[in-house]
Amino acid sequence: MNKRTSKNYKIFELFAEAQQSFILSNEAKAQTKQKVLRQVAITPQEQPEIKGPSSMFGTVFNNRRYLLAVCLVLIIGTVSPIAYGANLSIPGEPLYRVKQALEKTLLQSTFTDSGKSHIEAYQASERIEELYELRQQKKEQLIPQAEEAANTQYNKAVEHLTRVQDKLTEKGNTTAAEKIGKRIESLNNKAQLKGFTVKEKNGTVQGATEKAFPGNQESSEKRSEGSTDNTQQSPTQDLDPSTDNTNPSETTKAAEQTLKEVVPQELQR
Amino acid sequence: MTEQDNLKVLIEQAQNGDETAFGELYEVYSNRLYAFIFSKTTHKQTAEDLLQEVLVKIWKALPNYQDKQVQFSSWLYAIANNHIKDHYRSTARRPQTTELIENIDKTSNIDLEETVNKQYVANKLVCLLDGLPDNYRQVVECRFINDLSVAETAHITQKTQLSVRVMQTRAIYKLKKLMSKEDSNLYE
Repeated sequence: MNKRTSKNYKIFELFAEAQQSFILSNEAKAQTKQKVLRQVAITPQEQPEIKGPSSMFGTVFNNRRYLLAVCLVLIIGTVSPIAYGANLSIPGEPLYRVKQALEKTLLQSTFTDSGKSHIEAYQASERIEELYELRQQKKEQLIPQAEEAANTQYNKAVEHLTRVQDKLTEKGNTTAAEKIGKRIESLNNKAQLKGFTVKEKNGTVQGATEKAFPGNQESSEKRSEGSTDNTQQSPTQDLDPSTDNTNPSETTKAAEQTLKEVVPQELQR
Repeated sequence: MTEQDNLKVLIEQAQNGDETAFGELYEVYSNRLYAFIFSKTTHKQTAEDLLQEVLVKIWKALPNYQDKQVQFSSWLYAIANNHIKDHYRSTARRPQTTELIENIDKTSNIDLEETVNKQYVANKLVCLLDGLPDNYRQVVECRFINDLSVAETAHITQKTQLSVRVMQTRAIYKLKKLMSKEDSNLYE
């Protein structure tokens, strides 16, 4: 131990020397063996555990990894159908609150202005879809509330998208601005297809295309040709299932036809 | 028949209540078990008593041992480790390191100077190990005093093999520090 060697060597040397002192002497070994065997002779062995069918669950619950995997599967298996069901729900259904909460969470977890505007557009599209479904199912009591929600969300989304588009155009990012324009267009198309009429905050009624593209005089003129009262009725208003009992497929075809006439050529491309 | 096969047969016989086979197993494993217990208790008499108790416990539990699940030696060390823990829990005290020198068997034929030297080394090591956290100490004891593999140490300490390796490295680093501290105190 007097050698001045490296510290590692010293430690292992110490261990090796210590091991020598940890050996049971022959005498003690023999004595202990006798004692043990004497005790063993009078001590019965335990009966082996018989593992029944429940042992599988025992294995799962005793092993943390298995348990974690099982919990994950259970959570995903429970949450996914609920989320899926909630996504398909309409006002008045039990899962509709879940849908609202999920949408709120999605909006709050998005930080960019552009991203938020896209989510708002998606939500507006959902409100329009819900309104359409309610009209199809003739749930008259819920329609006014849904109309109000769709209007609010539509106005909010279009305003936001337009604001983002303006900002992007100012910055010279035309590609992104075009994408936003397409998003407005697709929202507008959906509104037309589903027979949705936009109401301004002051109570005036405006066609979806007119609202989204207020400067497009040509399309307004085209629309006015087929309408008796331009301020009170939009081209899509006569496709409203609540006021019209025509076949839904006919309604869709008619809406598509109207859309071709109304939406400017540039946007159709 | 290899040594491993021979051990397997002995274990099976002991599982079926054969005391002679158990006696042979004692011959194979008693020294290693004693070293394991002694490194934790540092008291000869206590280590011998605990060895006896552990062996009786092993005899009782033998029918429940399953070859496929774990190595026999790891299973033995796990039982010994749990028994030592229970012992210190019931007596509510830590192993005393000062008793080592007192444990020299003066009646035996072994050279007294050599014995004293060995005990001094063991005492020094145990003093150093006392400066380590419990989990590090356990790993060092298993790996370097009882010469167990990483897998066996992992089974006894109920840690992963990776964490055993990490703890071993850290423990050695800490031991080096403790040793240099001790050396500097000696030279001062």
